[in-house]
Amino acid sequence: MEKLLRGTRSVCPVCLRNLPAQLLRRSDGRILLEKCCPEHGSFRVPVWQGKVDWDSWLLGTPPLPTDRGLHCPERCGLCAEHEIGSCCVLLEVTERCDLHCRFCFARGGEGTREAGLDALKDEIRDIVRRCGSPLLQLSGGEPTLRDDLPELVRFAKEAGCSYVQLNTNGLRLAKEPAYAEKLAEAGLDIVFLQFDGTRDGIYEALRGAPLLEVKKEAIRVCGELRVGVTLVPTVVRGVNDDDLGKLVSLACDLSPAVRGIHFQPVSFFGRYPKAPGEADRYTLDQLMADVSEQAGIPISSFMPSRCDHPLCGFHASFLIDPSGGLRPLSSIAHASRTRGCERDNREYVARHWRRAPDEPAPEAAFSDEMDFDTFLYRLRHESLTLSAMAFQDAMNLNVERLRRCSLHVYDRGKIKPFCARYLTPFGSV
Amino acid sequence: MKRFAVFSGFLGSGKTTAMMALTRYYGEHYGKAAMISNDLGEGVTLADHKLAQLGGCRAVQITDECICFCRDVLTEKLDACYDEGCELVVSDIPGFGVGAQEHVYHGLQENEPGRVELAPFTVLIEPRNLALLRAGQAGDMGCILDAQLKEADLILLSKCELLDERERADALAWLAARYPWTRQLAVSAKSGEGLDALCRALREQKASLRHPEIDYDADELQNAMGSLSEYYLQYRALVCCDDFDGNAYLLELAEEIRHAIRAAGGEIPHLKFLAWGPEGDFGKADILGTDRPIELPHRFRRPCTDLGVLLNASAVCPDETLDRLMGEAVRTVSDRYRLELTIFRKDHFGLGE
Repeated sequence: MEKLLRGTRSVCPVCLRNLPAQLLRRSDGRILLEKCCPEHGSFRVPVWQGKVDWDSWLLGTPPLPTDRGLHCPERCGLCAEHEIGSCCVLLEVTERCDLHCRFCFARGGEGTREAGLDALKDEIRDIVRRCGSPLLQLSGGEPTLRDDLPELVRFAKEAGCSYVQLNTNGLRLAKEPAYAEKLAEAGLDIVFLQFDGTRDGIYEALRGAPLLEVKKEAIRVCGELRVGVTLVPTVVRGVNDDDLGKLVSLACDLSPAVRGIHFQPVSFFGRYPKAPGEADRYTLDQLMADVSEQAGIPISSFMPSRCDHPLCGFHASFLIDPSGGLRPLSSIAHASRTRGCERDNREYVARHWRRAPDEPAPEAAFSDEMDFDTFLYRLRHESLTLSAMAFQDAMNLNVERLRRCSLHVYDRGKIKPFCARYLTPFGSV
Repeated sequence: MKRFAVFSGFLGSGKTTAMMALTRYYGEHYGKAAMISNDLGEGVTLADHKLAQLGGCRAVQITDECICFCRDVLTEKLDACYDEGCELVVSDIPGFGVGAQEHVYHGLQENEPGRVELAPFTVLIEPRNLALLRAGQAGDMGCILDAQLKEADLILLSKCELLDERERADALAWLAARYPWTRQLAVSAKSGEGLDALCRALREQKASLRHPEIDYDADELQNAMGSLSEYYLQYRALVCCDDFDGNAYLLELAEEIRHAIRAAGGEIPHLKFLAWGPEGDFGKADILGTDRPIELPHRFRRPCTDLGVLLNASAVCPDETLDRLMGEAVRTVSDRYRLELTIFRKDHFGLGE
C-alpha cells in the first residue's frame, strides 16, 4: 500500500531528461521517489526512512507547482524561477589533487587544468558582482596545491566576499604550518576539512591512505592560528556509519579549534556515478537517527534549514559540557516556519563555524557552576554545531529541492546549484 | 567599621539605583562599599546584580532565598565583602520586604551579636506611590506601603528630582508626621542630591531595632502580598544578519508585555529588562505599572548583534498566565528583529503558593 504525498520533477538517471516524479509513502513509513523515462524505464529510490516525521520536518513547505521546474536542470544557470540567491559560492581553483578518493564530486586529480591567478580574480569579481557578498568556498581538486592561494584569499576578502572558506583535505596545512599561517593572515575564515572518522581504516577505504594523524595535525595548526575548523565526513554505509558518535566525541575533544561537523551522506555522482542498491542509500533522517543514537543526543535537536529546502540538510547546536557531554541548544519544536534568506544562512554559518574573537573568560568558567556570563562565554567559544547537506544525484534528484538551493558553483561564467553542476548520468542502471 | 543596612521599599521604588549611587559615592568620599542584590529566582543572574557590575559597583548577589531566611549565606557574603576592605554593605530584599526588620535585623542581633554594626533600616518610597498613599488611592498596595514604612528607621524619598522644592518639603513633612520615629531624607540617584547625607546617616546612626506594630498575619496584607508572581528569564539574542537597534528592541519588548498583561487584567508593579553585548555596552528598560510610560534609564550607544538578556518581573497575575504571556511576547518581538534565541534559564512562581 503506497500513498501519493506530492508530485515533483526529477531526471532520468541515464539520459538526465527532465521527468515528472512522485513522492510515495509506503506503509512502513519509508518514502520513495518514483519516475519513469519513456526511453530508459522506471526508477524508484528511497529518500526518507521514516526515522523522523516527514510532515513535521517539511515545516509546511509547499510542493512544486505543476508548471514549474520543467527545464531544471538542463538549462541551469540560475534563472528567474530559482527561489533563492547565493549563500555560498564554490569556486574550483584547480583540478589537481594529491589524493585519489573513492568518492569525489569534482573528480579531483583526474585533470590538471588550473586557471591563472588573474583569471581567478576576474571570476571572483564576477561572483561578487552577481551574488552580492557571498561566502566564497575555494575548492578543487585540492586548492592548497596552489602556492598563490593566500593571495587569492586576500583578494576575495578585498573584493567583497563576506567570508572565505577553504575546502581541503588538510595535508598541506598539517605539513606546512607556515603556509597555513599565510592563509590565516590573508583572512581565511573557515577550514572545511575532509575528516571522515576516527579510525585509519576509514581513510584507507575512502581516501586510499591512513590519514587520521595528519588530519589531527591540521586541526592543531588551524587552532593555533584561530581559524575555525569544520569537520566534513562523507558518510558511507558499512564504512563509517558506525563511527558517528565517536566523531562527535572527538570533535568535542578538539574544540574550540573544531567548531562543527558537517555530515555529507554519500551521493553517487562525480567519480562514482554508479547506481547504488537500496541498502547503500543513506538518507538524511537515517543520518539524524544514527548521530542521535551514537552520540546520545535527542533527535529533536535537529532542525531543518530555513533557507534551503528542509530535505537538503539539518543543523543543530550544542554546548560542550566540561565533562564532554553535549547540551542541546536547538529544538525542532522552536523551528521557525518563516523562510530565511541566503544572508541568514551565510551569517549562521559564519557565526557557528568561525572562531569568536578572543575575550577573557569569566571567573566562573573554570568552575563546575555555570552562571549566565559563563553560559554566554561558552556559547561563543565552546559550542559545537552539527549539520548536514544531503547532496542529490541523478537517481534521487528532486527539482523542488534544487530550486531552493543556496549552495552554488561558479562554472565558466554561470552560477549553478551544486547538485545541478555535479549531476552525473549513470551509464546504465 | 563593618556596617550593614537593608534597603527595603516597594517594587520600582529605586532601591537598586539608590544602592548603586550610594556605593559609588561612598567609595569616592568615605571608603569601600558594596551592595548585595537579593531575589528568589533559582540559580539566576539577577538583573540588578548585572546592572551593578556593568555600572562598576562592588556587587554580590544572593539568589534562591530571601535574606530573611538564609542568615548563614548572608553572613558569608558580608564577611567576604568586609574581608575585601568594605566598610559598608547594603542589601535589598525580595518581593515586598515586609518583615525584614524582624527577620534580618533582629535575627542578626540575636544570633550574631557584634558581628556587624546595623545601620538604620532604610525604606524607600517614590513620589508617585507616596501621592497615592497620601490620597488613600493606593488600593491593595496601600497596606504594603504602610507596613514597609512602619518598619523604617530611615525613610528615603527617592527620585526626588521629580518634585519641586515645595512638593518635596510637603512630602517629607507628611512622612515625618505619619512615621514620627523615623528620619526622612530626600535623595536622587540621578542628580546625586542627598547622597552625602545618606552616607553619613548610614555611617553614624544606629538601627533602632524596634518591633514595629504591624499585624503581619492580617488578611489584607497577606492577600496583597500573595497576589504577586515572580518571573525570571535569561537568554541570548543573536541577530541573523547585520545589527539591530537594541533600544528599540527593549522598548518593543516592554510594550508587548505591558499590553499583554493589561489585556489579561493583570498589573506589573515592576519589570526590568537588562541587555548587554560582549563589549560591555548595555541597555535597560523598566515598567513600573501598566498605565505608566516605559522607562529606558540606560540606552545602548551602538547597534547590537549579540546580547545577553535578563528579564526580572513582579506582576499581579497568575503564575502560569504570566509565564505564557512573557514567553509569547519575547518570541514575537524577537522574531520581528530576526533574533535567534537561546534560553539559558527560566524560573517563575507565585508568592502566594
